Amino acid sequence: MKTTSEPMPEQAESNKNPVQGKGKVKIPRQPMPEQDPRRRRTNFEEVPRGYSEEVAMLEASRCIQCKKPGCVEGCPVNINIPAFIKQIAAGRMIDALLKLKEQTALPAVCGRVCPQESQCEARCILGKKGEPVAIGRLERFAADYARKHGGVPDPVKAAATGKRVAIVGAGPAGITVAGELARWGHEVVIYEALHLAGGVLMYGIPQFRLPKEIVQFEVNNLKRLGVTIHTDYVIGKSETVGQLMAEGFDAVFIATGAGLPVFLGIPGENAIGVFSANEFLTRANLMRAIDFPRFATSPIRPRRAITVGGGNVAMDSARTALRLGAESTIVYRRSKAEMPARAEEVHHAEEEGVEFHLLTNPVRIVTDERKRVVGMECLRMELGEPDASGRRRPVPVKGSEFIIPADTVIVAIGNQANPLVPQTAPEINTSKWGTIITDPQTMMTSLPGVFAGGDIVSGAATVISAMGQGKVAALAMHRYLMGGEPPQL
Amino acid sequence: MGSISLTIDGRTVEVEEGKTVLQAAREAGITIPTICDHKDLNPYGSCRMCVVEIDGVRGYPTSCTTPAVQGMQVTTTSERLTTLRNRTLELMFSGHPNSCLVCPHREACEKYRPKATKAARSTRCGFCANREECDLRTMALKGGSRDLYLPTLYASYNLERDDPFMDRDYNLCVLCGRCSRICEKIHGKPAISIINRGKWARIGTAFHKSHVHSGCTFCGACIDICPTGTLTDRFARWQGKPEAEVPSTCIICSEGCSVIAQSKGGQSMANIMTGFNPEASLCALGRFGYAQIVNSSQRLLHPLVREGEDHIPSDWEGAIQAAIEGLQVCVGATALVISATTTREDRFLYTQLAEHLQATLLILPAEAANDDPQIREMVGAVQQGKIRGLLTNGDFLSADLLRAANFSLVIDCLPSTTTSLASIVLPAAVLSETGGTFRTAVGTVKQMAASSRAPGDARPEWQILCDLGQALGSAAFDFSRIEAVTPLVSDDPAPAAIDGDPRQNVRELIPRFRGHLLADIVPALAAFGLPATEVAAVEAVTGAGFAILEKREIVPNMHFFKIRAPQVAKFAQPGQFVILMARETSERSPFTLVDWNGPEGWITVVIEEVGRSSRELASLKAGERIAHVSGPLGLPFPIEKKGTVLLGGGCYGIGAIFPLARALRQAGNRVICTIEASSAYLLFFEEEFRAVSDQLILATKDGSRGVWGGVQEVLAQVAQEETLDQFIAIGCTFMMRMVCEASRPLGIPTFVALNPIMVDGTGMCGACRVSVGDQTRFACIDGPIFDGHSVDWDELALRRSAYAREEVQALSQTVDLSALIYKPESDSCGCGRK
Amino acid sequence: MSFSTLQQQAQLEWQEFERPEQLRILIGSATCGRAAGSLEVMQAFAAELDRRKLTAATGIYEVGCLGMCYAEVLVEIRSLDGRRVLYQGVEPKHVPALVETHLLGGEPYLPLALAVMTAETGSELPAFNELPIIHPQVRIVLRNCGIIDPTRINHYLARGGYSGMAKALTLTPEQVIDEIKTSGLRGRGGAGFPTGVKWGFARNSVSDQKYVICNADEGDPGAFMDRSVLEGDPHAVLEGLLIAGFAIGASIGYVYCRAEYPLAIERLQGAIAQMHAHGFLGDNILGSGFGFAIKIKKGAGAFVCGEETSLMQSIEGKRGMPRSRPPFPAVSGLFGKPTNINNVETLAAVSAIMEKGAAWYAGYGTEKSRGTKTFALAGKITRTGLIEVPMGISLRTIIEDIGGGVLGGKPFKAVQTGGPSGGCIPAQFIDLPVDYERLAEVGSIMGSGGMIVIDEESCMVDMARYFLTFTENESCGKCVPCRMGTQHLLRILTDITEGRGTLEQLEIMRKIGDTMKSMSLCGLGQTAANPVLTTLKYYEDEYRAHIVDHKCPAGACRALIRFDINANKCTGCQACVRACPVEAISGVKKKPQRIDQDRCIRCGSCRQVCKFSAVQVS
Repeated sequence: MKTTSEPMPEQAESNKNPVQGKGKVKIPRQPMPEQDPRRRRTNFEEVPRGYSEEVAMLEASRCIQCKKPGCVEGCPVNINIPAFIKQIAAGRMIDALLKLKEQTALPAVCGRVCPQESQCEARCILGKKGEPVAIGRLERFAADYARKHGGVPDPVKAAATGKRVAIVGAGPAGITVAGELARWGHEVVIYEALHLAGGVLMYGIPQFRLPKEIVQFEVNNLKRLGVTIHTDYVIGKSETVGQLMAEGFDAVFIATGAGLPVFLGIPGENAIGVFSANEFLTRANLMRAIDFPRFATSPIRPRRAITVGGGNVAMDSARTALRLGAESTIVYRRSKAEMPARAEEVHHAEEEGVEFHLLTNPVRIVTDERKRVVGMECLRMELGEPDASGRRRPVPVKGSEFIIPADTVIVAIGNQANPLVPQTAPEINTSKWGTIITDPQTMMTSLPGVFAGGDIVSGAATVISAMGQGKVAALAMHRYLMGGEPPQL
Repeated sequence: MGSISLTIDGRTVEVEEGKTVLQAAREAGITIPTICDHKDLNPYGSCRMCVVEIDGVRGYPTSCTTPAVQGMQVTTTSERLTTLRNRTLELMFSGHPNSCLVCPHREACEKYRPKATKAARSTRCGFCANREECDLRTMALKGGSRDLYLPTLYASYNLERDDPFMDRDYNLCVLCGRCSRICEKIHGKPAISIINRGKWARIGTAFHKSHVHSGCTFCGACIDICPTGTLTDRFARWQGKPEAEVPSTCIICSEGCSVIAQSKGGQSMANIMTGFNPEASLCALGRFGYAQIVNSSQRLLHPLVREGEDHIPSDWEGAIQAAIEGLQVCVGATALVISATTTREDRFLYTQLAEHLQATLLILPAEAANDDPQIREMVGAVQQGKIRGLLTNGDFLSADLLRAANFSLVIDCLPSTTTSLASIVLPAAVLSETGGTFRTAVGTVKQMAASSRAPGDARPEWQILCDLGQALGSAAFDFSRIEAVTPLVSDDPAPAAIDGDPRQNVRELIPRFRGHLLADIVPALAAFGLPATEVAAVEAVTGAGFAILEKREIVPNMHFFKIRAPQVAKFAQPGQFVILMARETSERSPFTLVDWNGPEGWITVVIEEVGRSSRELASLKAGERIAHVSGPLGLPFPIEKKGTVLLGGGCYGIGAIFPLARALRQAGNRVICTIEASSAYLLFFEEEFRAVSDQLILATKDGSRGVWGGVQEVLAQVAQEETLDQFIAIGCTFMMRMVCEASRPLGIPTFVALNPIMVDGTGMCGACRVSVGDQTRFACIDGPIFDGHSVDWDELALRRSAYAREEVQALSQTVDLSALIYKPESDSCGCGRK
Repeated sequence: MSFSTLQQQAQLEWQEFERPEQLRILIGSATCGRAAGSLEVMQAFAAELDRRKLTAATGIYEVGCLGMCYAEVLVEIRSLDGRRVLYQGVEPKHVPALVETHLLGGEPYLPLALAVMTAETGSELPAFNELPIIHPQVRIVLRNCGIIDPTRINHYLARGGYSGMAKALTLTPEQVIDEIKTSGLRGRGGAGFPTGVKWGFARNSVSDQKYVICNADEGDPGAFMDRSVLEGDPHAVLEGLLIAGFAIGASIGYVYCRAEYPLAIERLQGAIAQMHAHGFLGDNILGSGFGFAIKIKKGAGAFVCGEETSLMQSIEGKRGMPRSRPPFPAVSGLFGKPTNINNVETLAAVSAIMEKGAAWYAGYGTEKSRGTKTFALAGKITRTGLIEVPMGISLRTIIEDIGGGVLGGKPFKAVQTGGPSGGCIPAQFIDLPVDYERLAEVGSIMGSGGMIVIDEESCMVDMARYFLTFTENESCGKCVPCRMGTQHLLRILTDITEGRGTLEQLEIMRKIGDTMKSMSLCGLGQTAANPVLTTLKYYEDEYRAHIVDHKCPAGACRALIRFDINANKCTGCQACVRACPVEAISGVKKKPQRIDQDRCIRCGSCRQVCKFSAVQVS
């Protein structure tokens, strides 16, 4: 394996880049063509259409191939960003993908859903004076290019180690661990409770942000690596983690995610028309209610939808509601600056016509006599002193109650750890929030041989952070299993 | 014909000669009860309710079949007649599920009436589809007492859903023969008649063919004339009674059949015949397809204007403006390709527009496709640049043609290749959404009525054309109402008649509506061989699914499955459930585990067929595979030794309490089981329960077996006799609520298994949240079994009905074509007896 | 060819057939005979004759049924000396002896000989006409059955056939109708409506087209009168149909015959062809200007299709279900045209009446019920069979003289008449004269002529249950009282016979029966409760015994009885052991046997075979 600290031999050749020196700075950051917001609000097609080869090479040429690339440090999975960009700039798209694949199992996904502006791109040196290199878009380009054109050689696998690893949950963390361990020669079995692998990538992130074909493509890649995936298999309800170990697995990785929706705890929350973002999105994405009636699951078709929350999930929900025909509003109790969502998503939502009620806090859901939602009573907020997270705490403005009419309220204020596995594995220590406590270095739980990662450890976070944890865990698991470093492939 | 006079109940009545005594009585305002009689049918005399006494005539002739004769002395009410009628009614109800009349819970039921939470719910608890509209029930309630003494002798037929549009529950049939008689009256050779004899007599097709193969034309007359809930329109049945019925015209083809458009809440429900006669008959499209076209989830909702590669949704003003700009460039070089399935007014305005634009106007016949000869002739003109602009109102133009044109404007209701390539797409209101007049193929002018609301921003074509015309600066388009256009239309040619007679032969249905393949809009039409666009196969991601080892319909609507699912079987515990998906496109639906065997690797479930998903499951057969089985899910019920435990199960809950009963008995409890159903023929698992309980008590809502009533009656009875330490009830929400109300004052710890809507079943979606005590709990991971006295039942009942509308829509889209392929049964001669 | 020429020709053929110095073998080969093995016997004769090179010299004839079912196979042998002897119970193994002794030897073969067919003085055998089963009979409808070869029209002609037709054609239709009215003939299908009056209705209907129908859909279980006539003398029926057609002005006649009667249909088809050949069908029959055609319609065997409106529906190609009257068939019947329907027996009588005159016919019977009636004697009676007796004859004569009394000499309990629509007549009415009115008075009906004799070992509840099983099955399902009523009655009767009955159920049955009678659409439903109502009327104590004591007094209801072997009577012959189908009986030879009650299925086989009455029912 090539670790991130090693200098890449290609770096020495960086001078050969066609656009040189200061000229690079002059090239503006290449925009990505997008579906017109007026059009896309009526469909579920992907919003950004991706770079063409020419544009990708041009954007790639903006990278100045830093000696000490900050972007790599910013990347939770430490992708050798300059190296893959260099390949794109040189027109070697497949090589670019192979470079990406050294560190990430899911480049097509990460390129789309990572919050690059706060990670790799935030550290790009070009960003100090102008606009950073569009690392995410290039990553996406490389992955899409390879998927569309083929020609990607089969991944190289190390000789079988004879070790068996069970992975609970086929989300980003589980997939990452599975990919790594399989490549290193371990026998990997994934257990997925739902009927399709992919976790939040399948059920949570909408089609217009992450087409499901891409997820399935990546899942199939895992299968090509020899990973066995058991769907419809609910660990904790069938085997417990302890039983998995007893059944002959040498190690287990728990990546069951944060699949327990948090509600507001305000009156009227069980009314008809109040949904968790999970339900709303799962119906639309995993169950493909957006293809109703070809698919049997009923879509929720709001006329006026309020989404409560300010994260990516809230943006996804609000934009999905919009596409299902609603006037869509986001209610968030802090200001835009505090919004945890990707800037691009917020931007897209605004473009599409999602209305934002910022500094607004729901206090009650208003219902009719049949307990159907007719509106939501809110309170205006103002920002007070910063809280523990460093964000300024919102404080209610007295007497500012008002009602936003709505027939649908989507609650997207976060998820707690899913309790199914921890409930049935008492040997594993959990926090008071239900998350699994692990050694931050090794991701090992209190039960030897059992590792955990992703949202079940960190609480609801991002896809890439889950993958980052997966990387760490995979390495630790390999060391645990083999007592040494993974093979260089 | 002269008139005659006769005396009825002492009153002299003058009637036209040839009328029956019943008609004479009706004219005199004297009510005689009937069921089989119908104004559009010939006298039949099967229900025998209309008997009278006539001086000089032996016995009790039926007034419906007896011609009125001059001087006749008729008595319609006497003690003897009342006795005979009541006894006959009682006989009739002994063969027709009667719990809706006699159930001891009927008052509570009126109060907490379970809504049609699922689309296909039929016989359960007597909630037949026609409950509110049942002529039989109405007659019984009007006629006499609700007390019925005869034991029930119900039929026990499996429900028939093997055709695209109808649900047939012959358990509810009283053999009044209205359906077969109307079928014969309209079609001459009826597709259905009474078949078999004696207690096996029933309505059916010859040789048990499916209706699709029986010569049935799906005119729907049988449904509209059925006095009970036996025959129902799958699409409209759970929408209840229509709010409005307006005479109108079906313009799907050039026949222009007269219809009564039924609607509710501005939504089209169905078209029915204006009168039951051959002239007024409808084809399957007019009767069943119409509402599905109008209500299609694919309808165009917004005007679309092309900007580069994109279609941008636009407001009408902008779209009209853009359309005008496009048209103006092409004046003198435009062709209008218009489907004949428009109103006369629309066509008049299209003609005006064509004149104004100096354009060619092609009117296409109703069944036209894009290879219509008239269009083929146009190709050259477009290629030579003689035609640069195209305006059409359907999917007729080939992609090449559209690409070759400079500008194309589509005014249509559904998306198509044409709309995807068009410069501008304007969403049109169609069929029942627009008024106006229609000229039929034989030249008759018929009136249409706007009976339902157009979806989204769609507007009637006449209005769109007026907007365009006015924007083009023509004064000839200044109309604000379609009625203002009508007088101007004259000498409009009759459209070309369609080939074949779809009203007589369902195989001659026209395949297209405005160039769109109808089977794409109404998938069930594929059953008649109508072509459809091939849909991309659903990607099979997982393995081969789960084998069905055994499957049978234990009682009507209730299906028993034994499925190979080793991982579930190995870990299952009493109280847990599984989530099933019949196909990759199905919903995830939860079902309580009934039994399992770890070493052998199988589980069993009982599935009540109530909606699309359960119907998809029900259509599977032994040897086939279920796409997904996920579980075991939910918390097992704590099995402890409590002493005496009562378990009550109703409907699907009969299966659900089985593993609990077995485990509780093994734990040393005295186990009393009670199973309830609306009627004896719907009880199942009796033998199974005898093996796992110390005492088994049956209960039926019509008293046909065991205790008259339900689990709560049994509870009251048992609680008097012994101390109950635990009580578990599983069934429909209504039943569980009722039993909890009954057990609360008795202070018996009561547990219920809740059945809210679920998606994933692993705690992720929160759809299944219920209020228990002051807490919100998730039924999938905190339940499904909860303390019944703490459940907020109102909330649960309401939450369960959240998707009622979508479920109705979903069911209409279900078509199991494999069920429609006629296979002769090998072990039966076709007489219905083995 | 004139009719008289045809008659002369026929006479020649008949005389040849009857010529004494001829070897002839007449084998009763109607369906009943065939079921008993007549065809095998015929083959055996053919083989035997072939062996003895007598084939050419001997005529073998299939003849119709003589009505003596208990004696099948019946063979009449005529030897060269003119001796004609009727043999009973003939089996193929008897054939060589019969040929040897009688056909060649001229001596009756005594072991099987039943009677001599010609009045012979000094014979050791009784004369056929003097047989107790034959003597009280007056055979009008059955006049030719078993006597002639039914496949030969000339046999029929020679015996006076078609002279009734010829006579009718010389009269006006009204005169024909008057003749029938005068004869007092009433419909033999069951209802007993005066035939002439019925014809008059159809005659008076004005229409371009009328129909006559012969109802040959004999549907009562156990009834076979019509079949015997059709098989043994088809022309008698067809002639009657033709006369009826002439009388009402119909040009088309239908014979609606159930497809389960293939031989009858074959005979009818043959007869119709012969009628054509003789000019008895066609446009201008015997130069009278009257044209007539006959079509055969095969029925699928639904009981209800014997009901005239159902029958017409069935001919029209529809499901056979009754419709309400009015309109009556005479006004609007088949295909909406005036139609007259008569039963087979009625029509066979018509041809005889027209031949011999109304007064002759009216000379038989009682004042209101003229003529004769055929009955199918069945049940626990010594001589089962088909008989024809003058109306007014007493039940006692029928049962004791003709039938030879109750089987095994056991006490007579009741007789069930009229088939499933009929009722039970208890022993106290044994001297009842049999006619329409008197049967109705005691709650039963004439029906089509079923007569089932019931002895003490027959349970009346079980009997009612049997008939209700039939009617429940055969109810067409159209009207509520019949469809549901039969189901309820059957269910209750089953409950009672299985020991689950309650006394309230008796009242319920009466109510349902009353409702069915008053409210049913057609005769089937109106009468279906009769077996229940009459047994309830006369044998309520038997019902009560089932319900209250859980006992079946007749020892017939399996659920309520047990069989035991009386050790005092048992000789240990073990006949019962061999007869038991479930090996429930065991014991040492020549010692009393034992019945294992757990194994016993109460079939009663042991009781039947025991010659010592050692098997007791309790």
